[in-house]
Amino acid sequence: MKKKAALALIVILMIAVLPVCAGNVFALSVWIAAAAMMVTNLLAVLRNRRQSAPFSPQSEIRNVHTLIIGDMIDPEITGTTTDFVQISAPGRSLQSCYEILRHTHSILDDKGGACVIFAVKEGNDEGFSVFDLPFFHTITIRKYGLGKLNRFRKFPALICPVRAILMALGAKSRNYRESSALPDEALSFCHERGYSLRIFLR
Amino acid sequence: MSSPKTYGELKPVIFSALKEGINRFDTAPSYRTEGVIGDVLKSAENELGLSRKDYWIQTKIDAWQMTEGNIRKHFDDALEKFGTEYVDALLVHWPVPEKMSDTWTQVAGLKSSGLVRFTGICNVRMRQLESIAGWDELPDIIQIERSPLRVCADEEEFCRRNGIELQAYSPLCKMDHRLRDSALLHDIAARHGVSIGQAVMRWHVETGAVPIFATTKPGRVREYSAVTDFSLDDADIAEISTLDCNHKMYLESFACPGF
Repeated sequence: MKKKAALALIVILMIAVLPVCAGNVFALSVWIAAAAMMVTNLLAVLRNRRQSAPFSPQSEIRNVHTLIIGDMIDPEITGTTTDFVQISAPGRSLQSCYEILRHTHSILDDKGGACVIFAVKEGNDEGFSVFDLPFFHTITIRKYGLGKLNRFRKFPALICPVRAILMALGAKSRNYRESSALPDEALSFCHERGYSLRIFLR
Repeated sequence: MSSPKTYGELKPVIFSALKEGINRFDTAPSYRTEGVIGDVLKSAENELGLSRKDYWIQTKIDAWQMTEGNIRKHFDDALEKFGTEYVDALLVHWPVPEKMSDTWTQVAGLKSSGLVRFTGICNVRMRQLESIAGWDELPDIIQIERSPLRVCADEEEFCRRNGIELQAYSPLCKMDHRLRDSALLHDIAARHGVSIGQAVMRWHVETGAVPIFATTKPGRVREYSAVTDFSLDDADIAEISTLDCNHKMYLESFACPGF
């Protein structure tokens, strides 16, 4: 099977590269676009994977003070300079932030003083993206019917190219302001566990 | 027995354990070792002259089984894999909030019908235990990740007060460098003429917990079975407990959303 896949890859590369060698400008453009897409995809996936690394059993990152979940936000805006874990992806919704919180909050210091920050674009209340899936348990993927999306978790550039580019570039937004309107469900979740919750909107 | 193993790999370990007086075997559907443990224990009955009462089988209900709901069906599958008519202990692997009440009712029903001798819950902290305290049917066993890096004194006290057996999984925290390189542990182990692994295992026993360790090495089984040959004094126990930094390898919420 691996031999067949390798052979197919070689044939595809030859089809793509030969016209380029022959000086075909259109083929060259397609080739450059495809290469850029692959690089973008790789960078976005790696950045997403790095964010989920602290949650592995091998990680020593535990009992952190602050968990930042949401859009690409500069930690300086939240006043968090050290001792935080950030899980950010462009265009993350409020619903997704809360679901990620339900999956990741055990990394916070349960002896008190822990803080959760949501950073979302105003009005972006619902929906999930491929960048949320590394943080979700199988039962959550089933609960929300995210099986199809999960098949593309390694190919974000294919299904959400703009978000993938922003993710790959690590673009951060500075146009956030703290909101006093806190979502009830998340607020009571945090309250029961002794965490404080802050929300930033743009 | 927390990852897939073959009959050939497990037989020497399980036989070594049984010969050294360790007769409890813990697994879960997600470890995919139920069938092979059953096969090896059947061999032990034939080759070592044991009966079913001489060993203890403990398995769990996984989170995905809780969401599917039909606990009896999953339990029957487990019995078939073990090739036995009952299990000694059935534990709820993760306290999935939305499914806990329904699952516990079904698990308690299995105990009433004699198919399970003892019931339990894994991976709970004080927040869950405080709610469990109000249940009609308390668990017989609580299994949590516990090591000198995570002493869980409140959970230990809760179990002692309510007559619940406390089991500690990952009792050595996979020999984290903070244990492996601890001068304090090396000093205590040297004073008693044991390894630091044995000292930590003894610390578990002395602080009221049953350590659940995983190994594929018969030699390791012999090493840890010798923890009954010595004891730690109160000062040793207190010193080891000072290593506590609330470090856990497994984040509960990552395996149990909404934990």
